[in-house]
Amino acid sequence: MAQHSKKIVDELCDYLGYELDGCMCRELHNYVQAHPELQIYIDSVKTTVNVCKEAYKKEPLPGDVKKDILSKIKKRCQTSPK
Amino acid sequence: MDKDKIRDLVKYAKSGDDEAFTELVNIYSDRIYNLALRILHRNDDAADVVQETFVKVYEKIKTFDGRADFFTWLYRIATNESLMKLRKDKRMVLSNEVIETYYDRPNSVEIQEWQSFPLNNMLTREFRAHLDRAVESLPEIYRSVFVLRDLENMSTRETSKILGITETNVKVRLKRARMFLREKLAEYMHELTGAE
Repeated sequence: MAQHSKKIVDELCDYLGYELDGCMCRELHNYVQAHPELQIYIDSVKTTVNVCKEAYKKEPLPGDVKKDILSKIKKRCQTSPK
Repeated sequence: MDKDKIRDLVKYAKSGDDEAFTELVNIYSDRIYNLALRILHRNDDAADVVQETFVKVYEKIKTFDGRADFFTWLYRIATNESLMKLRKDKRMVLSNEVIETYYDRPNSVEIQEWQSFPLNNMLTREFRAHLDRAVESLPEIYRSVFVLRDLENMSTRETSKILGITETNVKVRLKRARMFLREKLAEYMHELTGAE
């Protein structure tokens, strides 16, 4: 199996969420070879995930909000059963 | 994160040490805030979830038996709090059937190469608004999996434990969420290139 095609199959297995056995992977490999647009589709799914990762990057809890939350938690906990 | 340190803090917090509990809040509040923000998309709601989560943890920490990772247990509480808030929200979400319809026709929009759209160009305010609408229209069963797996980088196993669903279900829901979002973005790209 050519390195490039194997990469496509690996990505397909990974991105489409199935664990495939060897036979199914071979079948998929043959299918991808006959349909190169599938790689374009896989790339677009990958881009979708990357765009979301970039758009929803971690942001710190603002310091004043954190302080406020800590004092609210303390107050609530004093009145909560433990 | 030092696992031994966390284990000790949890042990002390269980025995009523409020300083140890505050230390746990300090360690995890940013992560819980981001998890909630990614599910809810509203800063004030996410801050509420942080508060509610830690109050619940304070009330229930004595029942934490250590069989699961403390972090997994905490994330489960925070995810449930976020989803409860989402259910109360009046914002529209699509039904599961609509998502399945999208899944059944993944190639409905003409497939085109996206490499011509650099990532930075995709993150304009207009694009971000479109992306927000797409993510917000994902029903909670798909949104929670997508957030945990793709944005929080949790493994399939961790996600299944947090949500209390099978690993197969995690995989199926993740696939559908990704494909739905992909289709939504493809529609937008199509409009964009069609307008040129």
